[in-house]
Amino acid sequence: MVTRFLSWTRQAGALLNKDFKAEFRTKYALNSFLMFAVTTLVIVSFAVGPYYLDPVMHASFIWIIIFFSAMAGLARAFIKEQERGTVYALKLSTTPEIIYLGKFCFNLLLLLLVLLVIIPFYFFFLSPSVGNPLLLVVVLLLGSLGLTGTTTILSAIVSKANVKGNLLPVLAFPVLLPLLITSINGTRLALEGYTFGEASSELRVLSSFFVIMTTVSLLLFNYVWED
Amino acid sequence: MFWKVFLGIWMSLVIIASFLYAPPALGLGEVSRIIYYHVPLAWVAVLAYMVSMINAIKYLRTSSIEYDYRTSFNAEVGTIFALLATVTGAIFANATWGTYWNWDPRQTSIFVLLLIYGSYFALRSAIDDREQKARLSSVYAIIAFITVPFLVFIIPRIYASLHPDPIVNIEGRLQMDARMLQVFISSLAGFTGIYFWIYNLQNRIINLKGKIKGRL
Amino acid sequence: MSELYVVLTVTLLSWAGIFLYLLKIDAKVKELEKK
Repeated sequence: MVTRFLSWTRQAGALLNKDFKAEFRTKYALNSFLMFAVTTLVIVSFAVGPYYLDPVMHASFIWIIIFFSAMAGLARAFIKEQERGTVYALKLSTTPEIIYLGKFCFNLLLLLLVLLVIIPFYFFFLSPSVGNPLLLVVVLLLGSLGLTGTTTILSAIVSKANVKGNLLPVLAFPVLLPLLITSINGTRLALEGYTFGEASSELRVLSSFFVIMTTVSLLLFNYVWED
Repeated sequence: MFWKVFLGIWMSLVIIASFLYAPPALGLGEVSRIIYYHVPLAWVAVLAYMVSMINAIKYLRTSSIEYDYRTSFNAEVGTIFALLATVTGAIFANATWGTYWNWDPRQTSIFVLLLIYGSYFALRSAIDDREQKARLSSVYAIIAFITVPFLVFIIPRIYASLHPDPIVNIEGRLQMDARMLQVFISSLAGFTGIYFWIYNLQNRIINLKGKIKGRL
Repeated sequence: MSELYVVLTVTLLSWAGIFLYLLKIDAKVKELEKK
């Protein structure tokens, strides 16, 4: 059991490593992802201008920016393999579950990198007041976990479709709606300065969403991956 | 043939009874007669979606294409019934709450259900290969369906419900006039009968399709 | 009161339409099944 787990992590790590090397040669995904996020953020900032915003508005804006830039940035994980014709090599070399885990880690790191840039920028441009910074970080982290877990399997589905263009946001929105509503609510609570205890039901929903989505994805990924 | 004619007469009687035999619900006026249609429509939509879901899982288990036909057929039927339920619900909402739409938990969940199946059909039309279409759309339907219970838990925490269901359930089910209850149950049975007729037709058409393909 | 009858007639007519449509499909399927 332990050796199997170790070999899983090693293989998923190898895939992650390969993806990162490929990514840092072109930086295509990261650049487009980041620029999309910055553009959305600047539009929000321009539109809001000097007005004072409620915490609810701030929370909604933060998650709108995250959702749409994630849709633009995370769609390519599998399409890339399909376009370069490396899918078959990947299929031969390892099991579907490991591919899912490797791609999940890659997408998660990409998303966290973008968040690391975009959230300070958001505070720089719009300066919302934060009551409970730690809760905000936890909500953002849990939200990203669920978001990535769902997007990874959906982007694998999209990579098999003939029309890849705008399919991912269409597919992802109904699935992610519970996550988005809860994250927005959790972010609002964090901005208004509620404690962890008061936000516990949001945190529980977010973490169970992540656990359920990842489990189901691992179970179903085999069907998406086979030909 | 007998039960089809029976169903035809049965539903006609239900329609007449729903307008003339049953008294209007207290406080809600004549518009309340729409519940004899609204609730059965929603029930059939849920039933069709469930059957669609079961067939999606069966397809992934066996990968025989007829299950996929059943999945998509039932998804279509479910969507039509869900749309009708939404429209009748909105009419009722306008008469009693004053607006067609106010993001009531029920409205939100049916809206998300329609969105899910809208995306499902978009995905199906985006894939050409028959088997891939079947496999990927079944996976998507399962993933999307899993999130619905979350909504049931989350939405009521944010928006309060004005849906008469709690009222009908807590006070009304017992208080609901005997004649209203009779019509209500008969209408549910009639609509379920219509669904099974459609279901039967679907299966026969799918079999025919298989036969025609086999002959070619 | 007459409005009620109008709605009743419309509903009955729509049901008749749906019913006849389903019967027609049923007959067609039966015919194809015989072939």
